[in-house]
Amino acid sequence: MSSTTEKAVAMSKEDTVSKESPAASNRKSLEEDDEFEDFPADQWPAGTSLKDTNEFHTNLWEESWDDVEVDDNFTNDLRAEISRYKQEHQA
Amino acid sequence: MAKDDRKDDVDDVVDSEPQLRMVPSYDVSDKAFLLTTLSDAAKIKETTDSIMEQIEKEEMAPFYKYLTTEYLPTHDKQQGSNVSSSLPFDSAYHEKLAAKNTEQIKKLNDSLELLKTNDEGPLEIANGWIELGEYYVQIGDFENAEKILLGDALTFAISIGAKIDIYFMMLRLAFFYSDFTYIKEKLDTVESLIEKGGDWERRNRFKTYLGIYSLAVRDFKKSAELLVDSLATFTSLELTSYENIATYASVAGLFALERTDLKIKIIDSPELLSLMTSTPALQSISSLTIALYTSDYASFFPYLLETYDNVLIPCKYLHKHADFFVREMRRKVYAQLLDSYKTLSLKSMANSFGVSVEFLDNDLGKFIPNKQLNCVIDRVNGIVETKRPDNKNAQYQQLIKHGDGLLTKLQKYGAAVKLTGSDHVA
Repeated sequence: MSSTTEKAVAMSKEDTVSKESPAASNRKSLEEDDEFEDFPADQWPAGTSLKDTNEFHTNLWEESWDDVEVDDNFTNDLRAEISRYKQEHQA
Repeated sequence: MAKDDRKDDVDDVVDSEPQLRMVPSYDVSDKAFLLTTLSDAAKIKETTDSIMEQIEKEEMAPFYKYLTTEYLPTHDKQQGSNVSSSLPFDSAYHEKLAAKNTEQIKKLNDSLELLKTNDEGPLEIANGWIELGEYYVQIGDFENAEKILLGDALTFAISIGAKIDIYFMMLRLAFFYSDFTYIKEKLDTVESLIEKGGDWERRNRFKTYLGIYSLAVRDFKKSAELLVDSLATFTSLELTSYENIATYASVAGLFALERTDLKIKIIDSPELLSLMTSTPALQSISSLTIALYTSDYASFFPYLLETYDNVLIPCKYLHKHADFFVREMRRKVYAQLLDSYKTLSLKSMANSFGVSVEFLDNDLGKFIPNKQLNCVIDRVNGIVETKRPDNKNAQYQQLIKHGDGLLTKLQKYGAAVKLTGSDHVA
């Protein structure tokens, strides 16, 4: 009983080992393949650093989408609201 | 012998008085920006007149060309406005001005040549280069100013202080053209120079320059730290006016400071109080600050709008942050009001501010999902309920952390005692 289980364990160990090596060699070849999958080297034409771009769309601060999206018209809305409220409460 | 003596004297003179060269005219740049925000014809005329007067006086041909052929037209293209029609490019005028530039530059170059051939002292030559660079700065010629100032002028500069002053001059031109990436670079350079050998006055000057830069890139906290305390020692009139720096400090301070500091450093500041009557912009931001501090909610929104119109929109450093500032002010004032309540009716809250329930509900809703306000709106019952963040968990974690730290310390102590104990025994 024990011997069979030992054998089974030994066999499974071998299996895993043998499984590992094709897996390992797979991994290796995958890694080798990875080398060829590098992105083509960046080719920035000279003089197009961020500093040189005239359209300065990127800001030097983090602009939260939250702030920008929701508030586009706030001050105008507030202006209208305040004058409306005043009229309502004076009438 | 004599030459050495003279060099010592020269060093003393130059290091003790950083030379304040008032170029370029920041007012022209500020007004050029202001022009892009105006719609009233009379105000536009007043502004263009002022701009042209200064362009004439400072012989700013390069800036004139940039203003009329690039800056204003680009703004018009982006905003669909028509500002450039109020200041069209007059090539005859430009030629006349440019001729003056050529003449003056030749004069400066000739006198530099003379200095070199006469083998004058290092101070004279250094000053010669600085004067040439300074003229380029005055007329707004960024490229040539950089070439001269950060080239020969820097090379021939006779002290670290002089080098720092050269960088300050170049920085002012960068502020003039709002080139903030460039400004950041040069500020870093100046900082390391100051560490090597900057005197107290140049250190203060640096704080002001860095403070305005921080303001322009939305770092209000840093800006407040740098500008608020330096109000009493402000000397950088070549960078901006006293009124302007007071306004910038007030804006940054209102944004970033806590109540106690706000009262001491802004509301009660003698410098700010002294400028109040002469500076309308300062009055607006001050009224807003006091409204917040004294919980005068009825006045808050009107003063907020006033600040937006009078202070933020017309200012070239603050314009882009106007909405951001207004948003944070609302969040602050709502949070402050809600702080005193567990529940509060929407109607009475709206009435406090002078707005309708719908408006307030809508606005509060912008701050709740992202946890910027800790409250819940019960629209059905028309109330706002505040939620205090759960402290028990945080306290528990703290207890574990502190307890752990204490146990470690005790172990170390025990080990130390054991050691000395055994030593004694031995």
